[in-house]
Amino acid sequence: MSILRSIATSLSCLMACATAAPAAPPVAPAFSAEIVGRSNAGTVLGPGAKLYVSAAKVRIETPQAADGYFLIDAAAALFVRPAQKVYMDARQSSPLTQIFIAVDPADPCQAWQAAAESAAVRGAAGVWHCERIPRSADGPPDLIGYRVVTLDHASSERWVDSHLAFPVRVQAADGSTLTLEHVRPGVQPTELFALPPGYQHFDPPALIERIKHSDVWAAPPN
Amino acid sequence: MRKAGRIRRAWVMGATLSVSLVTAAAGVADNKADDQDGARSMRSESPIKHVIILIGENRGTDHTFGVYKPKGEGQTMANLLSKGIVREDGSPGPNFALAQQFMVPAQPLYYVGVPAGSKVAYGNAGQMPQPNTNGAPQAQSTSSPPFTPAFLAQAAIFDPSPDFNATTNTILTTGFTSLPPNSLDTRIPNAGMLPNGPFVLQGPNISDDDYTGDMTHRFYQAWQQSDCSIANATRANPTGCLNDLFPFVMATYALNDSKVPAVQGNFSQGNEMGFYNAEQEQASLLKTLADRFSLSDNFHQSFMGGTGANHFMLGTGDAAFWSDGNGNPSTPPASEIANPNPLPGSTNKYTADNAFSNCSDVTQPGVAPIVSYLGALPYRPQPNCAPAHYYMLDNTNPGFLPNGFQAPSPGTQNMVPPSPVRTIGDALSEKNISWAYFGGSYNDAVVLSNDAVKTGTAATLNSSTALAEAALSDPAHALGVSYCQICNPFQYATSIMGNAAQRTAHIKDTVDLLADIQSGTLPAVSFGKPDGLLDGHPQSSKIDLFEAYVQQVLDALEAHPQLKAETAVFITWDEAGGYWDSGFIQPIDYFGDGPRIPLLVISNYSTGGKVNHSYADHVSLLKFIERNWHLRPLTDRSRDNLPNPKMRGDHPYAPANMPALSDLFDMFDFDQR
Repeated sequence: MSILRSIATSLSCLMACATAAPAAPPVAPAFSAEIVGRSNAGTVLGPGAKLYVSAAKVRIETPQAADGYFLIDAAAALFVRPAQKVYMDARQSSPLTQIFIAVDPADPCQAWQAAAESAAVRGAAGVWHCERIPRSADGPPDLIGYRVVTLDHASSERWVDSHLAFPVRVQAADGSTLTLEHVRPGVQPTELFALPPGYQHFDPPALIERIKHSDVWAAPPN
Repeated sequence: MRKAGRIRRAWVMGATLSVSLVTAAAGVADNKADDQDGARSMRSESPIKHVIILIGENRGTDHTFGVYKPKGEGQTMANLLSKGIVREDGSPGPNFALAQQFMVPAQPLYYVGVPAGSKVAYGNAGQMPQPNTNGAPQAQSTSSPPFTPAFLAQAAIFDPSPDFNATTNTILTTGFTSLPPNSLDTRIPNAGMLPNGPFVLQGPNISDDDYTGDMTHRFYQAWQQSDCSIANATRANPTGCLNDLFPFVMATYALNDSKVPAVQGNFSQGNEMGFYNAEQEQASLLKTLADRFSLSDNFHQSFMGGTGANHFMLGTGDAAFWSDGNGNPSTPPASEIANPNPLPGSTNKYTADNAFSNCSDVTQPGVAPIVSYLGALPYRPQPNCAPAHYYMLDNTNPGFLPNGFQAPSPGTQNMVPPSPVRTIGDALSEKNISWAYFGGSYNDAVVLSNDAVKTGTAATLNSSTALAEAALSDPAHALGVSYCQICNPFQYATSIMGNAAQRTAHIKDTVDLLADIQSGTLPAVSFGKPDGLLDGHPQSSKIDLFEAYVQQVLDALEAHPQLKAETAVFITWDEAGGYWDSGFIQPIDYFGDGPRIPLLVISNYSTGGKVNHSYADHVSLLKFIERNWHLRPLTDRSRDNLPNPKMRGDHPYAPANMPALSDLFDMFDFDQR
């Protein structure tokens, strides 16, 4: 639990700055942070992703898709390539868009499942499963844990900060983790979360259909 | 249709300028890069320390250089123009009848040489199958080429790959047909009434910047189209291949004569007979390179048919075969075995247009006519078909995905089990000579492969389909579907794809080719293949897109004079793509050779606009590498064992010592410097 305590400590300023809890389900306040990946041995896995949050709107800039950024609004996620003025449905282009979204700390499962459905995760025989992990006596009071098994059978434990209304730590079955670090509360520029005007939508099926007319495509006809 | 004429002309000017720089003498080297150039220290037969082989898709010699006049003093070229088949403006010439095409009445069995007197020439008023739009794009799109201009308004396309640049951005928006698919291609002047022979792809509504309909280019079809019979042999054409059944085979092999041809047939029709006019600035970069460097007019696709088998021959000097995955030949599923014998009641509809044959067994469908013809040739070429081996004759994906995942059920996934055939990569690695295969969009394909493994489709679906499904879920890496798996001969090989270290070291993306040139770490031997959007393939790409890819590599070299001075760039194609060609064909074994394809050699030692006539094919590139770096032939059965040709003065295209293949050293003048 020392890691969780550390996270809780790092978030203390943000917690203090958060507005009083409303009657409605909490909505993530505005902040920025870094998503840092670590192996199960604790080794940092390359440069982290940048995260910007403003209520339900999220922007993620990850080195795994360095030519663009992800925009998330509730369960809908887009990938934007500014150099080409093009955007596309993010779907499964990054697993981050299915995890780091604004959630209701009391029931994040619904939002995560909606994000997975939006990403059209191929189901096989999997069954979506999400349950709360019983709070341990020495755990930080503001972090609520959930155990999630997605349709593609990936199992993870996710902790949501109740003040942020946002996931702050994910641990995969192999012990590797993603954590929010360097959290900086504050209003984020609205343009960070807006799809710039004039951008075109890209959809893979037409590209695939064109490729089927080339020698690149070697699958037999159905 | 032709929206980019002004832009395209501007690009051609840019290309010309750049090529002029390529021809300039080497300048001061960028020392930082030189320090890292390990290939420079390797002992080589010639001053060439680096070879880059760039491979386009599906263009033949007459199709590309049919109307071309060599610029070098005293140079000649065998093409449509020199033979009088067409005039300089592309119209029919005095010997147009030399190219006439024929139809054949129904025969009981598959054939490769038509019995004398049994074929009939098409008429000259549209009776020959006419050009067809087939699957060429009808309009612009936001998701596939040609893109809408707004989509490409900025300096790069949706993918950051250096495959795409300011040039391709422009011409990736142009060339749509505005015509229905599978219809008469009325952009071609006089379409519908074209005479029996080749026609130029040039007119107010058609240029080399337009997408055009594709045609089938498969093994048994290609043999049949070539119409080879010893009965046709002459001193100038001692193998007797007449190349006169091109539209006929396309119009009949897949048609159901008794049902609904428009639905069930293929739409290749007469597209085989189209050609560009280089003398009128079509394929202008290629022409400029030919004017200034060296061109072969006797270079051939090594395999009858299509992409996969030709690339495999380029990498191995041999053909792939179905195996148990451990190197032992085995029998593929019946659904993979070819039977080109005509169905009863049809003119020429193949019974089973599949991809594998056991050509050691003359009782197998389609085998006897080819083996008999080879046996009748005066130089008696051996089929080179090992017992019980079912050889890959047509496109079949490798048993490995781009990320190295091995398909568990290749028989049901329509993928070739891992190949034990030794590659040039193996030979180079054994001698610690650096090499790499640079495939366009490979990095994205690896990501899609990882996705497919994760979701399980990699274990059940054909890899093309699996990657396409992954692209639907992972649009950010969707361009990975345009990486050509069958173009990479090393992706078949257990020795490379089954070894993560080998795969990582040698299988790379175009981005890495350009980066290696920039950093001075270019391998001694590099194979460069653009992705499916830029490879120049008819219908899915355009010839000027491949030119743009070539231009980009040459531009990168231009920035590094020392590297350029020690580099030979070979520019060629995998095959003629079904395009008709008037050139001589030397059958070497059961698998080929096939029609001519262009070969351009760009180096400081191959200047002057020369045209080389020595007989060569893809394996000649292996022979060049092996001679330059002192390697032995790959195996005791690979084609690189063949001697160099002894070319005859009276008929300079047929070697006196067939079968023979040039090692291409005579395309260079290594004594000039």
